[in-house]
Amino acid sequence: MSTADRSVFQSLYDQYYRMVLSLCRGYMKGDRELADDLAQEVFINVWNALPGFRGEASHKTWIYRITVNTCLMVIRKNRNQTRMPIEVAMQAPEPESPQTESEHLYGAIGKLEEVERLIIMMVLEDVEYEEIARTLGITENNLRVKIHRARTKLKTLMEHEQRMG
Amino acid sequence: MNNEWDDIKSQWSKAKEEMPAQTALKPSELIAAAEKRKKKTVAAHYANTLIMGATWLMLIGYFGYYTFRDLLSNIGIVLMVGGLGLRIVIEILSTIRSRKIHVSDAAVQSLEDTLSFYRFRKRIHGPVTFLIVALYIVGFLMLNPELSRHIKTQWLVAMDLAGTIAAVVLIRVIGKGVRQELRDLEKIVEFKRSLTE
Repeated sequence: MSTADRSVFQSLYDQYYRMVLSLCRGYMKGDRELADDLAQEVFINVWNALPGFRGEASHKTWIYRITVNTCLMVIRKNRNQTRMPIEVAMQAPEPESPQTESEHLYGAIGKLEEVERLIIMMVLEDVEYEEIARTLGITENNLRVKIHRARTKLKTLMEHEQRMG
Repeated sequence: MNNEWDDIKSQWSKAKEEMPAQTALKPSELIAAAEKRKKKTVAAHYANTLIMGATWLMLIGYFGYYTFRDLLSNIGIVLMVGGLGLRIVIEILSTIRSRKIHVSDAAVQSLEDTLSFYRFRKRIHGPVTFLIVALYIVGFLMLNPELSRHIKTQWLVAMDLAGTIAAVVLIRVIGKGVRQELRDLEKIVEFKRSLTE
């Protein structure tokens, strides 16, 4: 790998680290340590995939793809983690200490299904629907339906989190 | 309804602003970690194949030097050596297939390639691995009649017992691995369904 590659990597890291960390934090339900590890994993994958980047997509879409795939791979490894259905999650006991707004948000996002979680976070990042569809490899129509469902679920979960917090 | 969504977006943006600008590792350290990971993965694949290949060659050399006379014994040797050879071929094919999964592909494509890999492993790895273990066991047992003429009975029994224990442990370990991979496969199918339906 050349100096130019290192320079590209540095530039991608500077531009996209916070975005990646933000997605990872939401994906790991607000856990800072796990999110940091996952974000590092994403950039390790970025470096290893860099020689194969041919410019068919923008760097941003490319980074999103790597982030999504890395997140999904991590979940595959966490075999013992189970996600409760939303109805059961909403009956969970109150947390012991008051939660911040961002903890409510991550808690709510964490209760969505994995794919919905990723989609809704990209929407929150103001990524254009066309780009999200390209990242995921689905049609925009299909995506819009999923976004609508995920948004509705997230609002319900947020209301519950705020009542419990 | 839109106000609620705007509040959520505002919370998201605020949470993002509070995040650190970089990870605990500097970019140069991330690169070093990435290079180390790549070398470790490549080394693991090659080491696995080389060890099995070396074992295969040693077995051929050993059985070539110490010739067994009985037809049954020679069939047993062919089963054992052939089984290991088959395992080496499958391992190479598995490595080639795993390289078709690209983390930078669109999610549906990456999941499809991963599914294809796991289905290959389900179809070939699991059943064929159990077959290979069976070939080793049967092949080894076929050597017993001729070995019994040269080795004391108690040593032969000890060898068979040790081999049986090793086989049981191996089957349990393989079975555990196969079950875990089946669970992974289910999860990947679920992810793909979530995206495409």
